[in-house]
Amino acid sequence: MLVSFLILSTILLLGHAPWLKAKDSQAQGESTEEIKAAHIIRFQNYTTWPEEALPESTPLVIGVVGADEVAASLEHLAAKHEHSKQPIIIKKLESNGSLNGIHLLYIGQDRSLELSEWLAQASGRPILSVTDTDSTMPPGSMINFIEEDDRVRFDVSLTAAELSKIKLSAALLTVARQVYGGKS
Amino acid sequence: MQSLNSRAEALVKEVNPRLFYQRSVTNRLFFGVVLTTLSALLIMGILMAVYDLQDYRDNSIKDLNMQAELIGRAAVPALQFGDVKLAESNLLLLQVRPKIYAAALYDEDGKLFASYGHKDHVQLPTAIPAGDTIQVGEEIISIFKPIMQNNEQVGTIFLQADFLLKQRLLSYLGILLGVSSFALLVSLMFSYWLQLKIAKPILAISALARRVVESRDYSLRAVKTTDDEIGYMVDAFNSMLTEIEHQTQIQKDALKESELERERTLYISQHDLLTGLPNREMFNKELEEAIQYAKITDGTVHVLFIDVDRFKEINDSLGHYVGDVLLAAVAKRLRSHIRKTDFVARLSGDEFGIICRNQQRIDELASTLVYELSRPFNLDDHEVSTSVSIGITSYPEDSMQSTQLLMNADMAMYSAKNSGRAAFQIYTNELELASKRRHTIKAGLLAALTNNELEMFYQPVFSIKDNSLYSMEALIRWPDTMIPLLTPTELIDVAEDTGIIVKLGEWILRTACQHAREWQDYGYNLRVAVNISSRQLREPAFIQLVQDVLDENNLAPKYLDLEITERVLVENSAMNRDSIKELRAKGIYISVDDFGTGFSSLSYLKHFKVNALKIDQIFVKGLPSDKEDVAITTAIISLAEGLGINVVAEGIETEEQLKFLRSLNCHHGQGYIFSHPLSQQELTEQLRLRRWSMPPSLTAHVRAM
Repeated sequence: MLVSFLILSTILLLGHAPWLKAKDSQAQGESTEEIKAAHIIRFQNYTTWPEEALPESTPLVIGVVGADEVAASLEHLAAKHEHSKQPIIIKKLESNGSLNGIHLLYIGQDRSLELSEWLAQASGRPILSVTDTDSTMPPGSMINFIEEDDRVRFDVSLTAAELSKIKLSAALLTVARQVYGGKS
Repeated sequence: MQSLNSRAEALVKEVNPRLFYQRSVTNRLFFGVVLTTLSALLIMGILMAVYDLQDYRDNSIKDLNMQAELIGRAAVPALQFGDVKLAESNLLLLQVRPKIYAAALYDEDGKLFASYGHKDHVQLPTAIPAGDTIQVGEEIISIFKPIMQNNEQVGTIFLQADFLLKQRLLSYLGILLGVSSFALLVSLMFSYWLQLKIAKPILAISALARRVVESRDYSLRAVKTTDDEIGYMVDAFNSMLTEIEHQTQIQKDALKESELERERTLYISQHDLLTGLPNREMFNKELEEAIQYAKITDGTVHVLFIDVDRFKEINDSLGHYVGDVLLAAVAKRLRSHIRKTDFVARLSGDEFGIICRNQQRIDELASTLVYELSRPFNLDDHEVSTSVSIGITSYPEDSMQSTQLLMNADMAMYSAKNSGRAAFQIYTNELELASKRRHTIKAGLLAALTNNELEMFYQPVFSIKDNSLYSMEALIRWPDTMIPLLTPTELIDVAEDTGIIVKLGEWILRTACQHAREWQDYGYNLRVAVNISSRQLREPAFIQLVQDVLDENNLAPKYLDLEITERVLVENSAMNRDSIKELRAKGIYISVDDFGTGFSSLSYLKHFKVNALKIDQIFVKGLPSDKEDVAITTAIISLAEGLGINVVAEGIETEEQLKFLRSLNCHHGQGYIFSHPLSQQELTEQLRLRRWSMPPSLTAHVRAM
């Protein structure tokens, strides 16, 4: 209820708010990869996995396909999470690798050829799939990074997420550039 | 004027301090209600304002805190994913909260991420405190709140708000004013209602009470409008009034009754109830007034003193009732013949008084009254004839004093009476002198009686035939009197007028009988003749007195001769005649004195047999030359002869008179030719010298003296 109100207000007020002062935080030197890695880490905050897929106090496993820089950033960030309630494990995946134990799958831009295979493998399994096509959303992908106006943004497909019994929070949707599917 | 002023001042002094307060119940009630309402409102308003502002402040802080929490939480994704626009749009939600005029979001590194503000000049803080921080100022409240996600700070939100306390206070005051006005209106209406319900009836009672006090009209009543305590008060007040009215009525009635009683008493005290005329007291008052009036107006006042002639005789013979009726009739007749301005009163018994103001023809009025009162009265089957004697005096001619005037009139009336009744007498100085003389005589006589200064003298009566003694007529003498030219006749007159005659007569009777006894003791059986006045004869105890005196002196009745004037025999009614009959029956001699001078009514001679007729000396005087005297004397002597009784000629002084009387066969004679009146000693001496022969019928043994 509150959320929908907030959304509505945003849409209504966005057009005419001349006093708003925006500051581009991304202009402060963080790389696109670092931002993407930070985003991927944060996605887990807005995602609910089925209980059996991610029991409590089990580490969250992020499988990374390609995108070495992103992976490196991820590992760096994961290290910060080492002592937190839910530790994060970064697992680099090779081609035709198994998705077993993987909770979040990131397929780098450089591996776009394998994209459909990975997505097919993940399909129906409780794995949050994050792609990075910078264009239209590939089928089966749940979150897809898109660079727009020098900012890293993302689209969300609720259809794919629902298929994998993964729940994405409404808050995430407010940040998304575009949302596909969903009941509404 | 001065007293009025001081009174007004006193009034102001009294009222002034009270003016400060509201005097009437209405005002007090009204101001009481309004004041209570307003003060309650004020206290409540202040308390509520304090409480409300405190609450408002707390709530504002709470609210701001909550807003920070909400906005902060909503801004988490925007912060995490660096969505500035989203963050700004989040902050824009604060537009609906005008109090929050500045807001900012800082990222996890403390860098400003997004901001919002009503005012351009708002200075956003550059340094961000760690953790929750609330800065509360007088009017401004600032809050810094870390934005957490999964125990991780993702940023900080800063909110700054204005309490708008002034506005709040202003609106609060507005509300207070509105509520107060409304409450005031309600309280005014309430107080009006109160006034209507409580004050008005109380005021009505108070007004009524004032009216009752002012008008003393206790029949007024308060109207009861309610059944509460006021209604009860009205009832109580009314019943009090009823009681007062009742009591007042009783008092009034009693007062009226006593006033009537007083009037009645006053009337009784001022009037004579028998005749309806004013009494002596009123007469005196009226006389005083008349004199005062005459003094001022230079007028005259006549006082008429009226006495009913022979009233006592009428009263005695016809009874008190007839006497009363006669008095009433006299009063009526008197009243009907005087002017309206004249004043008639009953002074006492048979005495009346008339006061005439400025009466020019007083003698005319007097003679009219004498004439009118001489006409017979028809009273209850009795025809009563009487007359009045009137004495008249006038102011200022005779006296200036009311008492003196009354005495003058009384004196004049006496004079009128003495001159033969049925007459009026106008007061003169001579009357005054005569009255004074009478007074002196009366006083002297009374003293002489007690001091035994009086002496008995005896004038013998002789038989003209043989010069033998017939009887001794007892005569009173007052030898040592200081009163000049006092004759025995005047003495007796005064004694009769003043009533001393009763006492004097008793003394004469007693002394004469004692002397008779003494003479008999010496062997001279002489009859003593004692003059009896009508006054004595009317004394109820007279017969008993005569009997007692005879018994005391062991004197046979035939030795006592009571001389009664013809007038008494004629005038006096049946009662006198009965007395005389009784005396005669006892064997006492009765002689008719002064025969021929009284009213010629010889009928009494038929009713009882007197022993002798005494021919008055006025008839004897002219003998034998005066034809009338001769005729009368002859007639009397032949009358006595015819009746078979004695006849005595009085006042025989000359041989011619004696000779003539002897020729007429007159039995007895009395006069200087025989003897002067003699004292007891002289008489005794004469008897001892046997100068006179004793009457054969009375002759007894004469003892040596």
